[in-house]
Amino acid sequence: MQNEILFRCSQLGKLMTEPRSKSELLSETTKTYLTEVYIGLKYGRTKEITSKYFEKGIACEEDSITLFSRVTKEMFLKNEDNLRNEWITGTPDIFRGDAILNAEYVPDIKTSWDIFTFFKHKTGTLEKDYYWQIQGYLWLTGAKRGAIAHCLVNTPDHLIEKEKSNFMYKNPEMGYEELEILLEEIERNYKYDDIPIDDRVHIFEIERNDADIDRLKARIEDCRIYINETFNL
Amino acid sequence: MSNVEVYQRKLPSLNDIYADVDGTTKNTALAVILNAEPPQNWIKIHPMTKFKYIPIERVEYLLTRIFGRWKVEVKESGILANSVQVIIRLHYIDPVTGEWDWQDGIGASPLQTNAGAGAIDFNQIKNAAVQMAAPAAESYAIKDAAEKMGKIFGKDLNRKDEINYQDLNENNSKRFKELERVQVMIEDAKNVTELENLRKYVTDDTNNQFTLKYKEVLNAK
Repeated sequence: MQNEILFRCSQLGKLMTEPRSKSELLSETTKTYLTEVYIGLKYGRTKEITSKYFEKGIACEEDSITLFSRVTKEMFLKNEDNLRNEWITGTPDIFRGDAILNAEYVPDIKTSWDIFTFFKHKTGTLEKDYYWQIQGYLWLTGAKRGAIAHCLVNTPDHLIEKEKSNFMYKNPEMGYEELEILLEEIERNYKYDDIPIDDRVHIFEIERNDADIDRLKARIEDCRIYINETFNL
Repeated sequence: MSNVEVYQRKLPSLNDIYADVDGTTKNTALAVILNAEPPQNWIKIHPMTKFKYIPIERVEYLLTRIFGRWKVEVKESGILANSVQVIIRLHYIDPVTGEWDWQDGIGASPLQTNAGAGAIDFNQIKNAAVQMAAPAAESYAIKDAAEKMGKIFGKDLNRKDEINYQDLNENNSKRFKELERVQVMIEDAKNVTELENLRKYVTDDTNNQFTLKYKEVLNAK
């Protein structure tokens, strides 16, 4: 069974966190994740990961691809092909090239929740989880370059309405006029048509790193052994 | 014996049609031609939906080659949801009887709204939206009418056993977003190079917009 465990590219960062002590092979984060993987395999239960951030990411994926295409002046179409090798599996969002297995460039689209989280990414450094996700895609596709593209697009109305409802729920005694002004402000905080498109995309370019891909392979082997030994698979 | 003129248009052979050359033989039956498989090099794959289709210029070529004379009568046009809808009657001379016959067709194409606006936000409809959507809807209507006449016009290109109907709604939504992407990128294009990069994504939906933009860019030079 251990050979059948394929790890998702989006979760590779959890495998690659370093343990606090050098005597440990795997970190606590990794072990927790591997337990979740085992539960999924054995009992078919997965930890529910749903949030407003996740919901916007799904709902606005195509809008973000459009924004990225406009800014880079290159038409991208959503990829639907799932890829897998002996170690990992993943579905890159988009790619440049005549076929996914002949891709030259594999960017991944991340839709920011709002302008504040967008700027947090823009002014910060590339998150390690994203780095490993892209190395996974580069491993699967054979591409030399990838990227993480943070995109700021309008939030769907139903999510803005939820934000307004939450706000009203938390402020039951607020006067009508004041409330109306604040609700308008909430609306404005989630729409970005007035901001130039070039200001709404931030791209971290990532080069393929074969040494890191080898590290991924080795770590996956360790993880498989851990699952096998811990859960007697 | 009275001097009666009999209209008998000679039918082209399949090979003639496939090869795009003039020349006909007497024995090719109309039904055989109409129900022949279209050659692979006529069929295009829609860049977004991956569905097969025969472009309008090929359909018009076929109509001319098979029927000689044909004309389109627009029966009705209007707005349906967020699209321009056109109903046409495709008149053609039946090459066997020599008489005018017809086939109806319906087509629709979405109105383009400003980037980021909702698909049915009529305050955000672009100035040339109808100008772009109406001819595309008419093209779809002509193709719809022609398809009913036989396989050679693309009747069976996407058989139902090849289409996953469960995913149809999802595909439509995805297709709409991708169509919107092509439209907005054509609109954004500043020069011929940028337009040429988009050419392979241009379909009957966006052909008119693409042509207009191309002229605009060339005139601005």
